[in-house]
Amino acid sequence: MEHCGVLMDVNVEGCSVELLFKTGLGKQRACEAFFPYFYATCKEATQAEIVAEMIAQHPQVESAIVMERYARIRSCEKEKVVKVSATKAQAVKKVALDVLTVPGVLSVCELTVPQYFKYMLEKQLDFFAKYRFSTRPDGRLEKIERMPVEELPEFSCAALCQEKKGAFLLETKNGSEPCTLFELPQKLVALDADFLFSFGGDDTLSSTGKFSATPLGCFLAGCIHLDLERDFGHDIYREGAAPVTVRQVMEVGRKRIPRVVELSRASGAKPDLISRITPGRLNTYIHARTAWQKGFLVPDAKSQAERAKSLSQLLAVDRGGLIIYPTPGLYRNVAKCDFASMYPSIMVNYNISPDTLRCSCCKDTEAVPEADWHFCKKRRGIVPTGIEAVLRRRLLLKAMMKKEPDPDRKAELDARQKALKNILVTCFGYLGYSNFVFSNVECKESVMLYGRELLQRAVGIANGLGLEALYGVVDSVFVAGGTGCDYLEYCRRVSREIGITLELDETFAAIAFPESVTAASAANRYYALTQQGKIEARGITIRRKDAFPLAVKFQLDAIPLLLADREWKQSVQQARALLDDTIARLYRGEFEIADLVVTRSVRQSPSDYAVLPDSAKAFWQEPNERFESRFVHTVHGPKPASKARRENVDCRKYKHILRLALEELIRGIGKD
Amino acid sequence: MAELDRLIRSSGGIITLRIRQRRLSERIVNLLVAQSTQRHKDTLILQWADYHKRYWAIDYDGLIAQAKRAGQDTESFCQRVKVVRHFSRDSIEDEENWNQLFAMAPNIGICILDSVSELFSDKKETVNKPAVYSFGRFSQLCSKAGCTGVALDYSEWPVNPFVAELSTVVLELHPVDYAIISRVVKHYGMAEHVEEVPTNPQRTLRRWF
Repeated sequence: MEHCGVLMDVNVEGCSVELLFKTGLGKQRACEAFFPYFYATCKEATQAEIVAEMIAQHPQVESAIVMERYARIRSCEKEKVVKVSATKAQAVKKVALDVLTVPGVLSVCELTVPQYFKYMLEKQLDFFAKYRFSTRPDGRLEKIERMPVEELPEFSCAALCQEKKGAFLLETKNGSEPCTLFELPQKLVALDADFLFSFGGDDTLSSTGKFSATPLGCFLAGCIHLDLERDFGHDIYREGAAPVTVRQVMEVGRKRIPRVVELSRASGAKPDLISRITPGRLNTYIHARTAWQKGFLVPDAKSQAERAKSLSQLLAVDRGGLIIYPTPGLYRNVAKCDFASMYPSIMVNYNISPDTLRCSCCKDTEAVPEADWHFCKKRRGIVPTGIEAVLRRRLLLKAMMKKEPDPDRKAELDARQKALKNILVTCFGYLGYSNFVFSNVECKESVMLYGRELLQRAVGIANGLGLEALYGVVDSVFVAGGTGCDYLEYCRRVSREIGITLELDETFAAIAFPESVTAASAANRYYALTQQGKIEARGITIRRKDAFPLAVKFQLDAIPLLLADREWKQSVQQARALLDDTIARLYRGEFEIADLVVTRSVRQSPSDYAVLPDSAKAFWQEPNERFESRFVHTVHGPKPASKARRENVDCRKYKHILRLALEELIRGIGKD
Repeated sequence: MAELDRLIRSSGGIITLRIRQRRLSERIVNLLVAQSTQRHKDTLILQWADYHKRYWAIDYDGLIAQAKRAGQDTESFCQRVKVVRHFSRDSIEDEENWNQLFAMAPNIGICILDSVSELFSDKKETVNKPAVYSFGRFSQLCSKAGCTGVALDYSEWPVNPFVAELSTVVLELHPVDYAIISRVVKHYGMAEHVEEVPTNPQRTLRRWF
């Protein structure tokens, strides 16, 4: 029978693999014989055939075939290894232990790589891709071929919420209905949904004992269980509040399907796993796939240690991103330019990968700035190949998003590109994580060193064009002294010369860089007005979570006054007048208690503090489960917001804080 | 500190320093490196660390400041102190990594292992094979280099029997107010004893005002 469907799941059990497709006629299963395997490396390449013969005699070994692979990440030439297929999945570990005792065997590889992942790599299959396939009457897969369609079908979804212990609320397209714990497994089978959404479902379903739970989560047969709590936890760019009602779970879950689809396609990890693994782990999947495609054996653990380095070498290379401190002052017509995905682009452009580090074929090539090592120019590395695919896909999605007129489709494309951004922002840090099998600290340091050099080059180009680079921080640079066209030309020039896109992020009508309390230039502290009149700020009261609303409102009103196009002294006078007016209204009692509430979290018990802060003093008068202290400064000390009275507010304290709020905006500006 | 320094210079073999307080151990390591780095020999610092417990933090400023105080030439000191960062559980069992270290052996004057307990923090008395292998390799490295090895141990459990067996000296340091209590657990030429060393003698005087 011939079918057409989207691949939803792949499972290896015993000595066969089962594929689950979503077709126009519902779910369709197909199975195929597959013997789980791993590789054994040999002490001597010449012994590989003998070793294979010996391994093949094991009663639980289906076959032992000699193949050619790069045995280590740093290998330059392929060598003979033995592919050992076990008779069933459960026997793999036992066989591997026995293989290690065979004379001539050096090590075993790819034991931790999931078998379904290997099967998909061998067959070149992708989750959520559309396939035309045919099966025999007994369900065995006969033929499978990919169709060039990217559109996804309409998925049937259900949402689950626990109302109280043993009682659930199940939401489907027909509405919500209550069900008991005993009914739940049958109802879920009857529903036959493609996606089941829950918030905290891994814990609640596991604790019922009715579903099979693993340390990773609670997986349901034939259905992708998306635990939104876990998904939120692993998404750096999550938006919106956590869902509470079953309807909200359904709504949020539907919006997060594109994320699951995109990440599953990009990494090759099962859709069920996407919400349960970190973005870093997704990097492992991506690079494991690339390594496999390039003919490397995927290592089970990272074995290569860093070479011994002297303190002077470490001092030169162990550095963070470059920061060019701004001179305190007020500047007009300033552009903020950002490098797009700077660190991933550096990894791709400079071929930074553990397998290309210190290659023997390109010894005379240029070394990494400040370091004494280089990267291969001839052979493409594993890490850049994997990252490049993600980078390109994200750029494509961003371009599609810009052109898309339909807001719903635009939101979907945005969710997809943000999902990929999770991988890109973690790929650099993960390169230095010792438990990541493709990590190498020298590669991580190289990215940083190139980043420092590129920012310096960007500053140099600005100076060459007659612009002034005011401030630079890791991957963004603020330039002044030009017009909109000049800045666009500057971005084009930098992108062309450096090879990484520099984007004009924002142009400010005015920007102020105040001094720090110690009268020094401060990084990451500024406030600005965009050409559209929007305020952008970093490191001041309006950005702090514990600022009380009155102080925030005061700063938001004061910033346009300070950045107005006139003499700085006049601007300061206006801001001071605003401060006096705010303080006068405070003393007259023209405020709401809510305007003065400070919100802070409390992390320790009272006995752990050497000096009890105001937040803790107020918190222990009225503790709560969130360990959040909402208090007001009163003449009797800090009081919880609910107990504070207007007549007891400590106006002197608030006056002092408001003065500091103005001081941090004007400190060090207009000195001369 | 002078006593400890003399102990290291005279004893040879492996000295296990058991210090539970991280800040004190960092200070002692800085002092040790600064005072024990010899003119023509390298000091090797092996960081055995678990990523989940500690990142490869090296107190560069503290080390250099101590070296200056000890009268070392900063530039050559920085050249002679060698660090292998983050020798993790996986890389520790790789023969190639140890061979790289053995190649350095002739130039090593003192070898500091930071720390035994971080990678192998078993509280059980059973023999931990990777721990035995790794500590055995460390001992082999020290004897090949003919240098003293200082192994740091932050655990609160009794000293691992294998570590104790291979060590010539096991010393416990415990900070209390204004003093450090040192306890000799094992020494080839000394009986077990406890001593209190004031960190700042003036602070131990009673103040009546």
